[in-house]
Amino acid sequence: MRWHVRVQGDGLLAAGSRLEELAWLARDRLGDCARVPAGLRDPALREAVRALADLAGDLLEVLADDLDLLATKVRSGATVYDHVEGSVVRRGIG
Amino acid sequence: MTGSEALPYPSDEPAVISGAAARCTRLAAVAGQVVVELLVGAGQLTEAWQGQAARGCDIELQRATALVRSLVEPLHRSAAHLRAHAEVVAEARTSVDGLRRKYDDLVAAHRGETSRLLQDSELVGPLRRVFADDVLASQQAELAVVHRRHLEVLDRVAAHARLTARLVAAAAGSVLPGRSGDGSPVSARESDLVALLPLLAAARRAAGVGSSPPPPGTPPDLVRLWWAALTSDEQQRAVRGWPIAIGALGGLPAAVRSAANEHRLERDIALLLARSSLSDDDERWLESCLLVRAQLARVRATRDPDGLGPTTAQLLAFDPKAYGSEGRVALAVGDVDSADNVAFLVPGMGSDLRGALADLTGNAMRVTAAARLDSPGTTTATVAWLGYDAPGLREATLGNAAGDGADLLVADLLAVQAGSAVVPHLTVIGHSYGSTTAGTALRDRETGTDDVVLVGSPGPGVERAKQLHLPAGHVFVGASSRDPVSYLDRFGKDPAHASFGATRFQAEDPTRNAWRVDVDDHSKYFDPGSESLANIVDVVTADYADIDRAAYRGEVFLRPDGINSDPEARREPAR
Repeated sequence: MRWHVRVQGDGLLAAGSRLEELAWLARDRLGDCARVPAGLRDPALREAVRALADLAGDLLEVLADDLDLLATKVRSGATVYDHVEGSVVRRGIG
Repeated sequence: MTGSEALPYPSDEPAVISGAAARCTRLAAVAGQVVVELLVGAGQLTEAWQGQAARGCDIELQRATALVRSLVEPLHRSAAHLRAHAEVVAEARTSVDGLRRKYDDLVAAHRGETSRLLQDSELVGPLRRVFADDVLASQQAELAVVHRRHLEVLDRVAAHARLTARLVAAAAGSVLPGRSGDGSPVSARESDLVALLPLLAAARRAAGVGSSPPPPGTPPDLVRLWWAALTSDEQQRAVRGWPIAIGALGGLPAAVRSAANEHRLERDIALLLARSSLSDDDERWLESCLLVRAQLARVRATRDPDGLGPTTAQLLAFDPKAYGSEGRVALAVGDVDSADNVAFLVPGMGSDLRGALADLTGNAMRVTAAARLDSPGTTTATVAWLGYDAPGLREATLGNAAGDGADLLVADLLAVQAGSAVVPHLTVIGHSYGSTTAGTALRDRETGTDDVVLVGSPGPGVERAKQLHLPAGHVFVGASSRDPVSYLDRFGKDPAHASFGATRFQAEDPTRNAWRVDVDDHSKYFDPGSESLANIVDVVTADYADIDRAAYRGEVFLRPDGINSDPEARREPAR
């Protein structure tokens, strides 16, 4: 079986940074979710809006965790790639 | 009564409902922005990276994008429903305004009519009363119509609120892909969401998420990974669900352990107070709990001397039934997670929760407060550590209390360092037999300690300071010339001798016995304003240059004239 792998270290690092920024953005908005039902008094309405806001908060938090994980994987992949590329260049292969 | 008093508006205000709608819209906009950015990021990633692993990441990103996208439309839809409800409420308020005017007009007309009747001199008394009754009956009938219409308005609003709630719930139900959107209550937990993201789900499984907390003794690094893999809701549930396990888990932030231990504390108190009768053991248990609660409140009632607000108190360890109900507790004065300096106070023989916590907490409060004043640019947390089974005289002599205590002390020292956001300057302060326990810990184990202070020591478990595995100059000794315990040489060398190799600091108390050793002088090292406390604080804040050094003791305790041979004996203590 032949594997095809192509990597651009700089591009990976940029993508990792973007994912990290998005994770930060998602996490930054968690407080907004908690504030959505603020001031509502009707119990049924308040509960429904709170449930929607909780769900949005949970989703954003899980998304932030996921993006952090992906960013870490992508960055470490870029680091490994740079290391391999450096070795290849030093040994005059390819 | 006026119309505005008699006829209230619907409970919700249109502006508040519109505000909730606007917040939903803003969240939808954020979600939309994230979707766009994720698409760009995925393209960037695909451009830079191809292969099997890249495909795995790409699939994960696509799933994440779908997840966020699923949020956008329901949020917009909910915002629209809320706006519609705000309009209904606004119209209802207009209707209520009209009814209020009508109400006020009716009341005014009645008053006018009644007044006219009273002033009409042509009407005889009985006839006047009949007319007045007619006016009143007519007005009541008309007001009843107004009240009925008002209730209809409120009912209309309430019905619309219920409808809006159902529509919003249905919108929430349609958020996750594959959900029916039938308006059933939304109870999605993070695990439902995570299940849609294979890489994240795998990472969480690897970190042990989904099961109970890691068992005691799990390396702090693994505990930290497990904790970090939980969402904030899951973390809160863990604190409430497993307070005993979380409260004792090294590697978690001190604030988390404290929250868990305080949850347990309150739960225990509620449990015990609900019982109709208490056994002797239960009485001790309750007494311990109430004492710990009181000490936490005592610390929090004080202000940071540098004006930073109330002093933080953290319950780092709490087991009121440990050691035959003598209890185990570690109470921090200051925020251990962020403090530049952390000090552990290790007490000596016979120190148990009920007998010693109040005094030890007082000592910790004085150290933290004095450190704050002495070194305003830094923060200090001092831990009143009643974390081991402090022995009585017999057990101290025959048993291995210091060794057992050392193991517990090391575990708690490492736990604090593993959970802290910064690397604190760490000092262990052992008083009396606590210095033996502290010395044994440093002798036998890697503790991460920077400095150790031995006060009133009957021997620190070693013959030389260098056996404590600290750099030269980081072992400090406070020994009052009047403290009989400090001469014992019982559990290792008296560290106040030059041959021990520690730095001895001045620790004479102004209230010391005038001419001989006195057991009372064994308990004055943390007295307010004492030179001992000042020197201890200098060590805690690593302000070594300010430490007032004392001359070392000679090898002979009593001179032939009966006077203590300690050179500190004749020095007048600082006041």
